[in-house]
Amino acid sequence: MLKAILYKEWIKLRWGLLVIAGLTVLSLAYSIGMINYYIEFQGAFSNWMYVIGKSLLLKNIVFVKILPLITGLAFALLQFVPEMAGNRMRLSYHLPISEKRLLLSSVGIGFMFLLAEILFLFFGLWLVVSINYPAEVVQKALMSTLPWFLGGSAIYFLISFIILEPSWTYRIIYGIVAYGLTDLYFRASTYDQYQTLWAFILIVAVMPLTVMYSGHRFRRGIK
Amino acid sequence: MLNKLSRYVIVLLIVVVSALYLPDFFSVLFDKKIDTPRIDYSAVINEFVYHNYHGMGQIDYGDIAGNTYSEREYFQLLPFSYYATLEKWQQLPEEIEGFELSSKSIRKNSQFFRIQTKDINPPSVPIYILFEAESDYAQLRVPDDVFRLDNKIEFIDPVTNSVIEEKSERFQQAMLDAGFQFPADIVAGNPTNRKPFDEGYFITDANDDIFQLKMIKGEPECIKTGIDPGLDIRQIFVSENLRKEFYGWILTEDNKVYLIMYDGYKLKEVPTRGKDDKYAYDADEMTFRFYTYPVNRHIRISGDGFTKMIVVSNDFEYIDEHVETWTPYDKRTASIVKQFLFPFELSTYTPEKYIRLQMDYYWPRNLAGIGLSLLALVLFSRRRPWLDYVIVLLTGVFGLIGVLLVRHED
Amino acid sequence: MEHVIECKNLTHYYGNNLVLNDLNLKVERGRIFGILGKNGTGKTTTINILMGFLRPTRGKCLVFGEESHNLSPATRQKIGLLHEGHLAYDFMTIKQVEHFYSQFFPGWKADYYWDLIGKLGLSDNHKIRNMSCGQRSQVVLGLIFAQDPELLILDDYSMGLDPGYRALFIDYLQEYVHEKNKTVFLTSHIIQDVEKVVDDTIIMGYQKLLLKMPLETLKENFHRFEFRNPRAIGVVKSDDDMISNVEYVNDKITIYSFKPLKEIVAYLKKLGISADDIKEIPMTLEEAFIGLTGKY
Repeated sequence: MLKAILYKEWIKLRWGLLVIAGLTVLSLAYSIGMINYYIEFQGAFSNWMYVIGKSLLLKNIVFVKILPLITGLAFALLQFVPEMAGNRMRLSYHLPISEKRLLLSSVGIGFMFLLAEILFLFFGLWLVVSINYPAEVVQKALMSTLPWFLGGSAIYFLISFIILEPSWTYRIIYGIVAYGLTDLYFRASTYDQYQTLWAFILIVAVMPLTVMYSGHRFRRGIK
Repeated sequence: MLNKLSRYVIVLLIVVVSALYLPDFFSVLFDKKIDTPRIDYSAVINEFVYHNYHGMGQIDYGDIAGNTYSEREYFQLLPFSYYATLEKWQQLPEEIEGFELSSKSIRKNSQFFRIQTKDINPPSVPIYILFEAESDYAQLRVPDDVFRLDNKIEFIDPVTNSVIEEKSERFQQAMLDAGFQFPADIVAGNPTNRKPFDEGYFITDANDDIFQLKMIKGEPECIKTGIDPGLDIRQIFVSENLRKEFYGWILTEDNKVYLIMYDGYKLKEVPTRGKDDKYAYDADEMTFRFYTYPVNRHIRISGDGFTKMIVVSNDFEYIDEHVETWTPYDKRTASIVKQFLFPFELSTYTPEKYIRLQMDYYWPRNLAGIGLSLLALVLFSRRRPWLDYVIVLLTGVFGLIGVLLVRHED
Repeated sequence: MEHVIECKNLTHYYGNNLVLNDLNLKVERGRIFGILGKNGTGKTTTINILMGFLRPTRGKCLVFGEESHNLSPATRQKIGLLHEGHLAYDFMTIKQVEHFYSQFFPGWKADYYWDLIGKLGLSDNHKIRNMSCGQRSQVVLGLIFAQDPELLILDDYSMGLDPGYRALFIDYLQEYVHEKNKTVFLTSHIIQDVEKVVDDTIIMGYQKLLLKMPLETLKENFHRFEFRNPRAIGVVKSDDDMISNVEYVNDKITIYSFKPLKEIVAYLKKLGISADDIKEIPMTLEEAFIGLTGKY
């Protein structure tokens, strides 16, 4: 049955996966372009000084910051808007599988796809940055991306949870909460500023559980 | 069961968001700016003086003996600060304590530095640049390589992003010859070419010995400073100044500040306490400022609700001190109301420039808000699971918002 | 006799609005049970509760002995739902949707599905989103047949279907159900369709059950009488016992009742109203339905 759910989520997500993979390639290409432009423009040494002292790299890889957010948002929308539109979620909730398994496996599968995109982006970035910069810069730059990836995961879980919630009043309240929580992951202005990363991971880690409550309310007939 | 857990997860997420934003929002709305006098020491009357900004550009000038001054009088009391203006007014005294005053002589004999919490160990990339210390040019020239320093020293060419083997080996050897035990720990330098000359890096090694590394005519010069390795060093700061009195300063874990003197790397302790430990310097919460003037030196320690100023002679002989206090943030009305209202506050930005999830728990003032929240829950809400009460007990108004917004669905 | 569905004292409020008041009903195995009623009489509420998408304020609804809002996956496997508007995963193709559903039902009968789909003459890769309402209804019905459930709950199956597809749907349903001893619970607002297939009916009125009997009985025992007497206006009122419904048009009075003519005349006399020209007007089932439920 898990296979069947995987099949359904795959049908909904596959074009999104492809588009995001394409955007990932474009983002990495943009990063390469920006990095090379600045090296050319500033000279290698001076560029390194800007990269090391002024966190210039964060500006050059700006799409790496935004892309997980777009991906999380897109995947949540692609997966759950078709389910909720026209009450279609009723079909899924009537499947002979417990609601909990259905919901958790749906977001689990979506998250796996998100993770795949993130890993693709992460290793791509690794390659891109390693060409021009020393290991210290590469490490700091990659560490800087971790909160962004957490932020993308947060937005995926939260938007899924919001879409699955049947009442608009609740959706608006949750929307505010989601904004506040996601902002937590985009507060850095220099490299590798995040400490107590475990606390930030923990907040994302509990988020998948929220969908249960939305499902429960749907089943109770709340509008 | 899982549905209940799910609801509490949502409630807790609401608690987190509320605790992050509501107290902050409250502060933005209700915090009032407080007038904090700026104190200084006048070498003319040997007395602490102050000026105090009020709103609308209104400034009071006075001294701690109770005299008040006009702006002009006040400027004249502080020639080492306002010499440029005084010179323009042609009111710069000719000499003070035997020191002849001119803009140029004052500038040449003054030096200032400060230690802020965010400067001590900021997020940074451990890649450094080493200038040529005896350059043929008038100004420092930017080098064309950088170096890393941990288990060994390696110079890297930014153009090829590869290690420059020969130079690395030369420097490595020089460091080993000086007795340096890898790996390096603290690497302190001043990587800017906007300085008159270069003193390179002060580096602590595996034995906590401090070395100075410079490049002279392209060749490494590594010197073991002999500074006591028992000093529990937190950070070293290097700052080249034409006065050439000290290379830089050391901050220790027990909040002491030492200057590293040009005279054989001897340390000179800068007072960080004064007569008593009240308002003694704490690097995690306060800013330390050190001023060297032609006739004396000032130390200014500023924190929440106070400024402590210590004046010593050029030879670091204690002269005088003064503490100016005002209501610290915690004791202001808006802050007290905030602590009654909210049980705690979550924040992420730290004074050290890192981002960390941290909690200020407003015990015991928060009992008021927690009590009220519980009362509200009992009085104005129908029967609910016991865990709702526990959550409000622990998280006060944040939990109340959460359990009221997210209905219990049995 | 075993009851596949059993609702006891079912009561539901939306806020302070009472929509279901103490509804009791039982559906026996092998029967086709229909709910009729105008909009707002709690038809949808009842079926939502039955399908497990609404929890009643009071009372309960048992399906195969389990509370309908909390059915186990095993029980859900035995129930085929047709949702209002012929809901389907419209992002899937004909082939995909079959492949998807087949994995949930061990007794999946793909033939039933492909038989029905074959008649549509569409490619297997046709997306459900691009189908007409009628075509989609075939897909949905095919999926339910292939699932081979013991109980079918069909919510307003006729909505949006043109007469041809409606007839086709009914034909298939009848054949399928009678062949295999299935139980069906359906709602509709088209009484002629219901008339043909349904064994038992309830007709729902605002906050109350109007009628619970086979439609045959309704047709035989429900009468319409007409007479003219301006003095009767406002005096003759509907009451549950004698008169189900009254309509006035100018001085013409129409009475709907389960009582015979004789009793009505006697009743009117007691009210002091003469109805010399009173006569029974025969009705179609639809007219009887409207007479019972009222035009408004």
